[in-house]
Amino acid sequence: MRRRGLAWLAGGLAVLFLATAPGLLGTYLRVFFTELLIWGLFAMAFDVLYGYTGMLSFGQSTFFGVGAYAVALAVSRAEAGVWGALLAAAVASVLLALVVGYFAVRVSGHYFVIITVVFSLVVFRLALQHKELTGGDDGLSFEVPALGVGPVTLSLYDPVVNYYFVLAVVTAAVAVTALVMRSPWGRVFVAIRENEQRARLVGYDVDRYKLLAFALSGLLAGLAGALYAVTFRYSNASLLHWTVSGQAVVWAIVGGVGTLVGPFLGTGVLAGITDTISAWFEHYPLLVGALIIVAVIFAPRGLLGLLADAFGRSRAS
Amino acid sequence: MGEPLRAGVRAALPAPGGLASGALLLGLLALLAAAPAVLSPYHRGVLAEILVWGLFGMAFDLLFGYTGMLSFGQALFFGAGAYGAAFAIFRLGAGLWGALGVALVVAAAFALAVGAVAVRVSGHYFLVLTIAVSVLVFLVLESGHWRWITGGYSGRPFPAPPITLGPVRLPLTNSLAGYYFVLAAVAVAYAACHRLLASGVGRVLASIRENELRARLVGYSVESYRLLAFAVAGVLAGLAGALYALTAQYTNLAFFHWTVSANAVVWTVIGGTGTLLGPFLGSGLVILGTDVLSAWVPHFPILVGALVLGVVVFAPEGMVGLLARAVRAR
Repeated sequence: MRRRGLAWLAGGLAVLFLATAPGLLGTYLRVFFTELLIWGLFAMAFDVLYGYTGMLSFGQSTFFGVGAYAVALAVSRAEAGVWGALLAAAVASVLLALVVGYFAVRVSGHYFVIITVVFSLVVFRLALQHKELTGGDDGLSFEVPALGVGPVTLSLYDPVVNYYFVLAVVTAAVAVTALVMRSPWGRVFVAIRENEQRARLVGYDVDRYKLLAFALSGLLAGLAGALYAVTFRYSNASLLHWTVSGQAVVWAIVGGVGTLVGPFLGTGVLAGITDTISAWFEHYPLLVGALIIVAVIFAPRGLLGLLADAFGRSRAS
Repeated sequence: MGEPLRAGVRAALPAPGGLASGALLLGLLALLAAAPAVLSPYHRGVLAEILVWGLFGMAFDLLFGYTGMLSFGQALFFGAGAYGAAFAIFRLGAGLWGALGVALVVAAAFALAVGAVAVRVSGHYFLVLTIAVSVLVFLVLESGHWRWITGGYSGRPFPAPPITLGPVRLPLTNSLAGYYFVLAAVAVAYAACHRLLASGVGRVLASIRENELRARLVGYSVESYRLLAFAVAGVLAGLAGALYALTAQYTNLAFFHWTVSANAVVWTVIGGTGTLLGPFLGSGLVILGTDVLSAWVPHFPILVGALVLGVVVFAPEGMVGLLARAVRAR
């Protein structure tokens, strides 16, 4: 049980750090950590699909971008408040995920990957084409309305308020997702990942559970996109591009897939490395790329897997 | 975890080496050989381009359809072949055959280097790795440090050497000579690929696709066979790149871009995965469609995307399968 104790300790320290971070950090790092939470949530959305249910998607950027655009449009066109905009993002991303998922979950393995890539490219192209709605390459800028929490009204222009707002939404999303993964639903997701045919033969409606996982992942990705839009008061067609999904794939794999926490760790480590070395090494993407290749070959369970092995060994000795 | 070919796809595959498919192929070759007689120089160029891209798609299908390895990095070898040929001409002063030889060697070296790492992982991680490597190489080339080889982003035009066959010298720039040069090279590559797949090696590759673990337990060195498939696919992609560069007389870093790899996926899926002919049909349909329809349909790629979705979900055996089914139904 020592390992579990260590995990709780590490988790507790991480939460404590995140809760007090704005007091400890300067403005630059505050924004850095805000962004890290958002991208971590996005990587976790990918992990729900890949790490838990075994479906490799390069199309989650579609839902991230749609979430961001839903916020931008709800605020600038429908004059919605922050909560209304978040709701619009959630609804829009789930609806689109159900449409894409309807096609995608009928096929598995490599064909699933191809479908998600193609869908994301089609949506990206459509977004570029319909400039009047999306602003195309220029994107949409907007003014963020005040955030009403009960009787209190806060301004999201304040980086500290923005940080805590993002932290609250991300924490709620992680908690709900963790509950889902511990529930029978989550068990069926894992059963599908391990052996789709067996899950089907046991009697589960595999396609429906896959659609469910797809919708949940789409919702989380859309929420991440919405937080991105609120934080940067901006949405852009390039958020829909599949390379954005590619980043989530990398973060989740480097951190450790199938863990929910791993994607946050991977995002933090890779974003930290990029942020640090890009100052003095112009070709930092090379180093990041090399790291991914090494991770895939030598540490397929990611950093979290390495940590678990290290502590597992020390317990055994 | 190799990926078993879906049952519908497998059922639609023509038996390799069957008499009917042999006659069909010879007929098709005769048709292609006669085609320039009725085509304008422009359309000869279009047909040659379809053949080159079809060859590139076939190289991808050797990996994906036959061996179960989905790669999004094949543009790397296309680019290596194109730049290998160009480099041999303007740096080494090579002739046509020398340029082709250099192109194939460069592509093979690239493929062996990438493959040595990539075939160690399978399934999804193989895919992720090919994407990572191809993005990395593109970034390195784009950074401009290799300008002495690449000649900058838009490459550089170079003179096409003449085709020398013994005492005969034919200008490659002539649309007829260029077309037959491409057709001959593609036909040889197709025959070689067909021969390889009909051999015992082809059977082992199929067994790896169907069940990697079982192939390993039977005693095959799965990594060696996967590396072989990866190298052959790389060399064929390099040949396509060299043919493209030689006939178009220019190179461009865009040859290395992932969109080129994605095209191979699209053509193969539309034409018919796990068939050698499918990628040619797919590239023909998409290129001709683009040529004819893009004047009326402003966003043709969206249409192509919809077509891929439709094929993957509703007709996974692609055009070859649909054609085979239509013939059988008659």
